[in-house]
Amino acid sequence: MKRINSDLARKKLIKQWLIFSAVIFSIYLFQTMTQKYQNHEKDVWEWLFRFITPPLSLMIGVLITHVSSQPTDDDTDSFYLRLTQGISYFYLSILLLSAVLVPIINILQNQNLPLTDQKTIIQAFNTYSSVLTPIQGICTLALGFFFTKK
Amino acid sequence: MKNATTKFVLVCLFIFAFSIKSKANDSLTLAQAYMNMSLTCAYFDSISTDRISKILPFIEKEMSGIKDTAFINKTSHLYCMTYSLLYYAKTKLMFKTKGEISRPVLLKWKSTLDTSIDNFNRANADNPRDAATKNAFYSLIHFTTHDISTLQEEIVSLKSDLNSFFSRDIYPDFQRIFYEAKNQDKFYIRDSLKYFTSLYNIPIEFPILINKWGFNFEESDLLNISDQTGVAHEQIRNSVDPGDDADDPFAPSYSFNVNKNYSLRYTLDVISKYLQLLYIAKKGTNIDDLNTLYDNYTAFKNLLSCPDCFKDIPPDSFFKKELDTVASKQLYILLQNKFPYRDERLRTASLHSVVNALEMGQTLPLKKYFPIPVPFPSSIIAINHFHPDLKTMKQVDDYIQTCLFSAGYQDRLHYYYIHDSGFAVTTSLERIDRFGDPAQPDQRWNLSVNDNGSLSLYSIFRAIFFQTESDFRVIGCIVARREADESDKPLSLMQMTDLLHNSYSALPVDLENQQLPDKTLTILVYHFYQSDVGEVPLLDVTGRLSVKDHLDRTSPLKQLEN
Repeated sequence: MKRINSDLARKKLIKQWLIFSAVIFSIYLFQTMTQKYQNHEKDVWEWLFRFITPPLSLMIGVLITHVSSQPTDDDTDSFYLRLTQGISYFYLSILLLSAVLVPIINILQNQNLPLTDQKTIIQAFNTYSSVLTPIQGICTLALGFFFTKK
Repeated sequence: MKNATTKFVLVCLFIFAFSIKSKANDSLTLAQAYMNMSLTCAYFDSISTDRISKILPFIEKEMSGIKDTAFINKTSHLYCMTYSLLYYAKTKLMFKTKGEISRPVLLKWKSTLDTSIDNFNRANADNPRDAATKNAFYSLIHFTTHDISTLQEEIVSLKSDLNSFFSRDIYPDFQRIFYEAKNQDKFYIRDSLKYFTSLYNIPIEFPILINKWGFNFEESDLLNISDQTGVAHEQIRNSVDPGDDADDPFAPSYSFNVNKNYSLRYTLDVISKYLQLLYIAKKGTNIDDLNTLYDNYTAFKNLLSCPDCFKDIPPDSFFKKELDTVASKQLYILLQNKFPYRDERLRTASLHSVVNALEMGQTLPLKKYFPIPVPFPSSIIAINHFHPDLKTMKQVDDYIQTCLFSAGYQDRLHYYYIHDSGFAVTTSLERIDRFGDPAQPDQRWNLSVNDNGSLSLYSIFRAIFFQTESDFRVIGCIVARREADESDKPLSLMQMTDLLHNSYSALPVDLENQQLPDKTLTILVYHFYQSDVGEVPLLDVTGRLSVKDHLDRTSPLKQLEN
């Protein structure tokens, strides 16, 4: 049974999350610059941070508390790291895809609707949330294994 | 002993002979009474009232002499029919010799005719055909089902005559209740109206109070109300219960039965319906189905304009003052204040039915007007002295149609009345590009798909990072004496769509021959800009494109300016 140091595992996870978050943030920033969300910028950013901030702040918060403390020899079964990384990749990929899929969902939702009945892009984001929210719960639970005080 | 036996036998023979004589006398009395009554009723109008007044008590006295219950049971059809004829004739005599008519007099008429109806129905509780054909006695005096049918028709006819008197009798009471409700807000409609109608067995219902459809025709026939009310009127008048074989009174299963109820005449019915609607407008709560409420209102309003419906009680000063079009409009305002409503179904009413209704002289719920001052447009232009050679509105319309049809607006025009001489016509909402050119024909009228109507891979990819802008346009032309004033309030797309739906697809026929020697054509353009898919299109008020730009881009429309 392969084991991995807990500090190292936490660092790997934080790196993974920071890189993905940066990519997602950049895409949304680009969309904002092209005025894709002209009338709904505030709502879109709020929506995005609702899904990125909680796990990321959990991880960074724990990291900060460990800055001043000595490195530990605790090690963990590497299976749990791979499992958490897998769930995180899955969740972050879906979040990344939202930048592409939500505008498409918006078009498809409105395809056969008359002009007066069309739905705004925020409603498409809310539809997408119904998929993201349960996955976010599972992901945060998996991250909790590494980022809670034992 | 022998003497005593002889006496006993003689007494028995006497009793036997007497009983035979008695039965023979009853039969004779009944037969004579029936035949006398048949003849009296048949020649009622030609016999003097004095003579009838003597005949009827005599026959009644004769009939009261028939005491043998076995005989009565055996000849119950004829016995009851004779009584029915007797009371029918009594009612008719009272009706014929009527002096001062008062409520007690009317109630006496009603109770006498009720007795006749009771006897008639009792006589025919069993199949009269069997009785009339099987009983040799009936055959002897020629009592047939034809006689039953004739009496039935006469009773129903007399009932109808009395019905008018009964209605006129309670009409002042209805008026009093009307004023109490209208001026003092005393709403005892149900009990008060029911009390007076029940005096004369007139059933009255209050479906509108519980927001149910309250008329004798289908809601879908609102536009054909004149025909429907006529039919309903006849149905109410016909109070015979026809059974299964209504067409053949001599069919075996035909039911000879007369209903004792009278009908609520239209004048009273209109008051009742007005009061019910007024109650809802003033005191009503929790009306969940506004369609039914306003259907009832429309049917009520149309009922007011049905002259054939008020034959029994012709509209008097009360009716003309209190139940005219002004009253119906006030009622409408009260209803709208309490339960604001806009009939969405009016949008889908086809022009065909509207034109037909107009041709038949029927009143339509609402005329469709273009608002003036016109809602603030994206651009506007007025052409004074527009084609003086075009005299009638039909000619002007033909000219405008020629221009618009050649620009692709065939079957895409919406017509309106205006609150002045003239008319307004608009095009349907169409997709255009940023410069005012109409979109490709297959995308021009398809407003539900964005990015100029197409949904290619490129457009989807582009939509991920950029906004998908769309432009839409409505061109309006107003032909009037002078340039149309413009309001400072812009029009939302929703309001524009509503306006387009509430229009006629051709020039209303009553405007075709209207003449305007000196007219002004005001051309309006409403340009809506949608910044992205799903965004609300907003009226473009930047003035970027003028009316001339729009007309130039849609080349055949340039003729409009000439």
